[in-house]
Formats: sequence, structure tokens, C-alpha cells
Amino acid sequence: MLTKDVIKTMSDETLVPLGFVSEGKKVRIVSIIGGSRIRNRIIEMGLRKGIDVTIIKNSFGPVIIAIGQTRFALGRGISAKILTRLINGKVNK
Amino acid sequence: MENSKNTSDNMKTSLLVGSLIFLITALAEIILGAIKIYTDSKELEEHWVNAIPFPPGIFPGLAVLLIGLIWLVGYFVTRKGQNANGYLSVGTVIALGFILLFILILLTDIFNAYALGLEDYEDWTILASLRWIIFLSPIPIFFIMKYREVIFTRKKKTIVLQS
Amino acid sequence: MTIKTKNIKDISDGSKISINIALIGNPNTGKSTLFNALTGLKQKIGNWPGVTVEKKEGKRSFNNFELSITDLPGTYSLSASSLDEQIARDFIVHDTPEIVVQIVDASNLERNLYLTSMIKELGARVIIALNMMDLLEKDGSSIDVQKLSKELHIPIIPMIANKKIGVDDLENAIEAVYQEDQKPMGIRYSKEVEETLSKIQNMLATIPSIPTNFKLRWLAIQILQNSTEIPTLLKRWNVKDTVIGELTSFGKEDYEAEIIDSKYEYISKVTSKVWKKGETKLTRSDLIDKVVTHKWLGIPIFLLIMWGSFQFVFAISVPFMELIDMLFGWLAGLLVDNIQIEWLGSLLGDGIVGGVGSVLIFVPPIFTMFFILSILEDSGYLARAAFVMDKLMVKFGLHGHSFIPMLLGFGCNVPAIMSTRALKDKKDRMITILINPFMSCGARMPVFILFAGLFFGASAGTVIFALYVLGIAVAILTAVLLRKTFFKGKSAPFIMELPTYHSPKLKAATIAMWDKGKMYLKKAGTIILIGVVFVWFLAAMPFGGVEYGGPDTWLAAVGTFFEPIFKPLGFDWRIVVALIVGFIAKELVIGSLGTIVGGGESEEGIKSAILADGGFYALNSLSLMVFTLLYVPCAAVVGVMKKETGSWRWTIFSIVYSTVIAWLFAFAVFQIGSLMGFGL
Repeated sequence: MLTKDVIKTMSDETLVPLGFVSEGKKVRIVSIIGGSRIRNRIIEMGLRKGIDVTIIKNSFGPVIIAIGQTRFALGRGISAKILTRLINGKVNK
Repeated sequence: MENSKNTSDNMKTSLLVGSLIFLITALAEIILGAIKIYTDSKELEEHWVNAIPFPPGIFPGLAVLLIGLIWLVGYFVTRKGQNANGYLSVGTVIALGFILLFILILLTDIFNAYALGLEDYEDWTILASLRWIIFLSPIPIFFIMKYREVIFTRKKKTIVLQS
Repeated sequence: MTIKTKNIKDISDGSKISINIALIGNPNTGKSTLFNALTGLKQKIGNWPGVTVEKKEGKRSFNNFELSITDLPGTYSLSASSLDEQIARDFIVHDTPEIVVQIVDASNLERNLYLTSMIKELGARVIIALNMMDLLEKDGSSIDVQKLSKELHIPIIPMIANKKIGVDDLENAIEAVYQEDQKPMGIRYSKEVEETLSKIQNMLATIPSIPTNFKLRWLAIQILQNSTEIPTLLKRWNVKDTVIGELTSFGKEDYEAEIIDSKYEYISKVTSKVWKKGETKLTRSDLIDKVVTHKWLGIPIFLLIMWGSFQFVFAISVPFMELIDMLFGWLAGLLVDNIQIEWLGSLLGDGIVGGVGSVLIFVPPIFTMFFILSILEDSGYLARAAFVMDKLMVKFGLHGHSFIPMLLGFGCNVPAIMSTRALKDKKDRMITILINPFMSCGARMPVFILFAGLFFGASAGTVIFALYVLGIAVAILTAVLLRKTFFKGKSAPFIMELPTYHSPKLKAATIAMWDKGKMYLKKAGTIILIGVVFVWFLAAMPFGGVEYGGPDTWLAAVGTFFEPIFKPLGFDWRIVVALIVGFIAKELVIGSLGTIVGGGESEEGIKSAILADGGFYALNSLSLMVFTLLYVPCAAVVGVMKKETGSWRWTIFSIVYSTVIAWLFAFAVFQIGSLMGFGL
């Protein structure tokens, strides 16, 4: 299990599963692992490579994420399969 | 977050006072409600608990308890310096929702008793349907007036959760 | 797909030009708001062919046009991975609406345009209704609408649907688009894909049996990405097996991902020129979500809201129920007393008026239940309820999404089972459908209210509550069982969009209540009416001389025949009859008991007749309630189950399984109760 401390020591280049990103952080989706059928459906919902995601809530049960003004609840299983990279706070280039 | 320090201090006090009043009331209502159910099952009609003009109930008491708890958690959230607007809003809207619900039940009880004259209502008086939470309504109403901006959107576009 | 373009000048006789319009969009974009704004109350609800998914149609007239608007299910894509998507796609392909109006959420442009690209691929003419323009400024984003429209070759109408702003512009756009053709979107796939596509397209062009409304490029793309339904489609057009084999050999799984990527690539290229993205800010909805999905507060808040909803339903419906009861009791008595021909008076009074009355009495609670569920859904809370329950549901091999149909089951199992169509995974969907009948629907409530009220006095409420819990427990156990046996495997990942909270609209809730409640009224007027007359007939036969509903009637004969099976549950022939009739609809259980026990005109009458009877007591009424809770809800549920599972096997399984479970539980209740000395 990744703990928050472990994540702190990681460099910006480290990939972190979405489910382990703490609240309020902004990340960019790098890849989605898992079967192609499921992956394609997720992509069609707008969760895809290169998209920036803000973690709204990550403490109990599903994770709540924001893409722009849209909010998604993601189950624990799937949020472990979405790999992301931290963006250093300042975003939106 | 965007609140100035002054309003957040105000809100902190409001949340604490509101939650304490609700929690104390809730505990009293739940305990008395439990005693009442016990005496009802033993058919002890003379018991002092039946002398309370507004009968306590366990479930209505639990509603009061939860609203108090929501505000209390909100209070601790403000102490951590975080935004507790959601706690204030949800607690207040649920409180108002239940007050309206119990007023509605009161009205239908009056209708059932006097207009329809139903048998079940032979011993019923209006007092029996005055739930405790109705007497607590000044608190959520005060919150609504004081924190209108927080509970409703500024442009009155989106009103938050209802119950 | 070819669309007939009529010239307005051709029509000179003053008759209206009718245009078929399909309304489509992502979920939570305000589609039903726009639909209501366009059609007002001129709506018609039907079913999509072959499936019981609700189909809404409405009309709108302006100038000399009459629009027939069809509301398609909310979808993210048209890849037909769920029933909703399939319905939407098939409508565009087969019914060839002249114009497809897509409602687009202005704050989520890219994902919405992805759907647009799929609609355009089908060859349809599209108008984009760009909704929620007022929310754009909130996060500091902006869209250059004109430029976007030019890039996409699609008219774009900025709108605020909930304030009906932009409806006139939409009318004008419809008029304009109706008279011209539209260019396709400029999506180009990789060289390899394009080359393969044209190869497939050339092959398809040589097959004359393909209907002209199918765009060859779209078909080619489907073949390329190995779409599972393509072989069946080709077979239907009598394409030779060898040709099918050759065509499908082009397909490769990786192509689908590539095609999705290319579409998104094109869309981001376009939107980057016109769309200034805003910052993600913590909104009011987020702050509320932190509370209602809170670790400790979430589930209590959910339970409290449920409890409050039930209180609301009871408070509103009790006076109405009493009024209906009085009215029908009076009417039935009037008929029985005043009609000279005795059997006719009995048929009209005891049979029809008494029977239908015993059904109509439940209209108030059922309507209120639909009302409150629609308010919960509309406000956005229902999605959070699914969220809160996800953790628990995962333990039972399902996920949060399956919880919404379970909740809706408290109203009526028929719409609840229909609502499972949003679940993408077939196994998840099957399990969710099969456990739904155990969620105690509104029609079972009267049986509980009557018997719990009669024999359990002050603890009646607790008994009823316990029955609901038992239903949920059996549902969950069944889910675990099915997951471990017939539907092995993991549940599909849980992804759900959380709509922004907004104040529920009274009008929308009323429309929803009426739409869904109407089905119940229809049921009362048809199947239940027939059932009631049937019961009356059996209860009055053989003709002449027998006491109505007495032990010498045909009804008694049926009951007595099955009595031995139910003896161990404490049921005599009369209860058996009521339960058998209850298979048509649970509402009939009380009605037919009324017929048999007597005093069938009103609820009060049935109550006193049962008390006076002696054949009913606390223990067997409890086992009766348990049986009623668990056995097949009604014929309508069986029908919808067949349609939604597409399998008689599973439908029959469900009937047998639930009846056996009901028998076992009722048996346990009665036998254990008897052993403990609670028997008669």
C-alpha cells in the first residue's frame, strides 16, 4: 500500500494511481490500465489520457473527482487503475 | 475559504450553539421516548412520562440528534480552518425539511381527526402531534436569515439539497 | 443515410410541415428540461419497440411547422455498450429523424462533442443546443460559439433551458437546417485505418441488400472495431457467410481505442481554438457532498432522508385513502341494496366496485411515493445515495449503481427493473433485476398495514419495518448467491457522474408522478378489474343457491385443492385463494380476502370481518405477510422481467425461486412460532 508519506517522497515523475492522490490535489491522467472494453467506456465518459483531474474527496468509499465542472464518483477498484502524475499546484497552461 | 475571518468566527459560534441545543434536546427526547414506549407496552398509563404535553418520540429524536451532529462536525471543521458551509447548509436544510414535514403531519392529523372523524383519533389532541423539533425552528430559521448567502446561491439560481 | 429535403415552397395548401426531431444528449445536461420546455404538457409516453424502456414523445408547433420530438435516452456514446445507447442509435439509424438536436453542457464541451461526432457519423443532421451558458462565467471559462459552429459545420444555439432562453433561436435553426444539407465533421483517422475503412466500404458498396439509410462509412467503422452485433446485422441482409467472414477479419480490438482517440484528438484541436477552460473550483455542491458522503454522517443522513420520505408518504396519503375507502364503501353498499337482480347487484357492488375500490385506495401512497422519489432524483441526492451505499454493495458483489433500482423498488418493481438498463455490465444487470422483486413494493404495503394493524397493535410499525428489512436481506443474500453461482466474476467498475444539486421543480416532479402513476391506474382499470371479476365469478359459482364466497363455491374448490401445500404455513383455503389471485397483482390479496371473508366493500369492513372470523390470528397473519413479501410480486413484474432479461429461463427461475423462498420463510415463521407457543 502506498501511504501519503511515500507519495510525498516521490518525484513529480512518479505515477500515482488516482485512488492514492490526496484531496485537493490536481493530477493529469497518464494511462488507464485494465481490459480494453472497460477502458474504452471510461474514455468515452471523458476520463482520458492528458486530462487534468482535481480530487474533491478521497477518504471513504468512492473517490470524487472533478474534470472542469463535472463531478464523478469512481469506485476504489477503478481508481486504482487510473495512473496519474501530480501537477504542481499551479495549473492551466 | 472565501469567508472573511469575522463571518467564519460567527459561523463557528452559530454551529456550536446550534448543535449543542439540538444535541441536548435530542438526548432528552430519545431517552423520554424510550421510557414512553416501555410504559406503553406495560400499559402504565399513570406514569409521569405521559404527563409531558408534547409526547417524545425516538425517531423524531434521532432526526434532531443527527442535525445536531452535522453541525457539531461542522464546528470541528471550522476549528481546523476549513470551509464548513456544507455542514451548515445540509444541517439547516434537513432541519427545515423535518420541521415542514411534522407541520404537514400535524395538519393532516387535524384533518383526519376533525374533518374525517377517524376512530384512531378518538383520544388524540393537537398537542400529541407537536413534535419537539417544531419548537426548535427558530434556530434553522435564524441560520437561513443570517447565512442566506452560504445556504442559497447568490443569484438564487441553485438551492441546495432538500429532504 | 438519405434524408428527404422538402422545399417549403412545395407546400402551398397551408397544411403544416411536420418534422421529426430526435433529442439527444449526455446525462445531466438538462435534456428533460429542454424537452419539457419545448413540448410543455403535450407529451406522450410509450415504450421503445421490443424493450420496456420509456419512450417520450412530444409535439411543438411554430410558424407552419409541426415538430414531433422524440426524447432519446441520455448517453455518453452510441457504441451500443448499454441498452440506452443501442436504443438511441437504432432510433437515429432506423427512424431517420430529419434533425437531431443534441443538448450540450457548455461546461463540458469535449466530452459532449464526442457524442456529436458519433451522431454525425450516422449521417444525421445535427443542431447543438449549447445549454447552461449562464454557468460558464462561474468558473471563468468562455466559448466562441460562432467560431465553433463554423469549425464543426453545425449550427449552435446558446441556451439556458431552465429559463426557456434560446428556444426561439432553436426554432429558427430547425427551420434553416431543415432546408439544407450538412457537411460531415472533419475527423480523419490514421492512414492504416482510413485505408482499411475504404476497403471495407468498397466491399459493402457491392452488397445491394444493405438498406440505404445505413451510412457505409459508419458500418465500416463498426466492422473495423469488431462491433459484436455486426455479424447478425449482415446476416439479416442475407450477406453470404464467406463475405461476412472476410469483412469481420478486418476487425481488430485495438482499432476501437484508436478510433476513440482520433475523435477526441480532432475535438480537442477544434475546442482549443474556441474554448477557454475555467479553473476547477470547490463549488457549493462539493461542499454539500463532503457532508452527505461523510464517513460517519453519510449513511445516517441517507437513512434519515428515507425515514422522512416514508413519513411524508403516509402523512399525505392517509386522509385520501380514508376518503376513497368511504366513497367506494358507500357506492358498493348502494349498488348491492338497490339493484333488484341480486347477482347483478353482487357483481357490480361486491365484485367490481368493491374490488376496484380496494385497488384505487392505494393510488395515494403510490403516487406520493413516485413524487418523493422523483424529487430525490431531481435534486441530485439519489446519486449520492448510490455513492454512500457503494461500500456495502461491493461486499455483496454489486456496486453503488445497483442500489438505485433497489430503492425504486419500494415504489414499484416495474420501473425499478426498467431502470437497471443504465448498468453496463450484463451480469451486474441480471443480478440487479433478479433481486428486485424482494424489495417490497407499494402494492404489498396494504397487506402489511391491514394484518399488522389488526394483530400487532402498537408494534405494527415495527413489524412492517422488519418485513422491509427481511426483503432487503433476502435480496442481498440472493445477490451473493447468484454472484457465487451463475454470474461469477467481478462487478463492473463503479463510475457515476454526480449531478450538481439543484432545487427540485414541483412541476417536473408532478409530471413524473403522473407519468409513472398512470401505469398503476391503467393496471387497476385492466388486469386488476379482470382479476376482480374473475374472483367474483368463481366465488359466486356454481350458479344459484350457494353462499357468495362460501365453502361450496368453485373458488373454495381451487383453494382446497392447493391447501395441503400451504397447511404447514398456517393457511387455510381462503388465504390460499387470496395468494393465488395475488399472483395477478398483489393488490388483489386484500380484495379477494374481502370477497371470501365478507365485508368486502371497505377496508373497515374487511377488518371487522377478519377479526370476527377466527381463522386468522397473529402467527398465521405474520407468516402470510412474510409469504406476501417474498413471492412473485405480480404478473406485470414477470412480464417486465422477461423483456429486460430477454430470457424465459431466468424469468421462470425467478418465479420458482421466489415462491420457494417465500414458502420456506413462511414455513419457518409458522413452525418456529408454533413451537414457541404462539400458535392459535
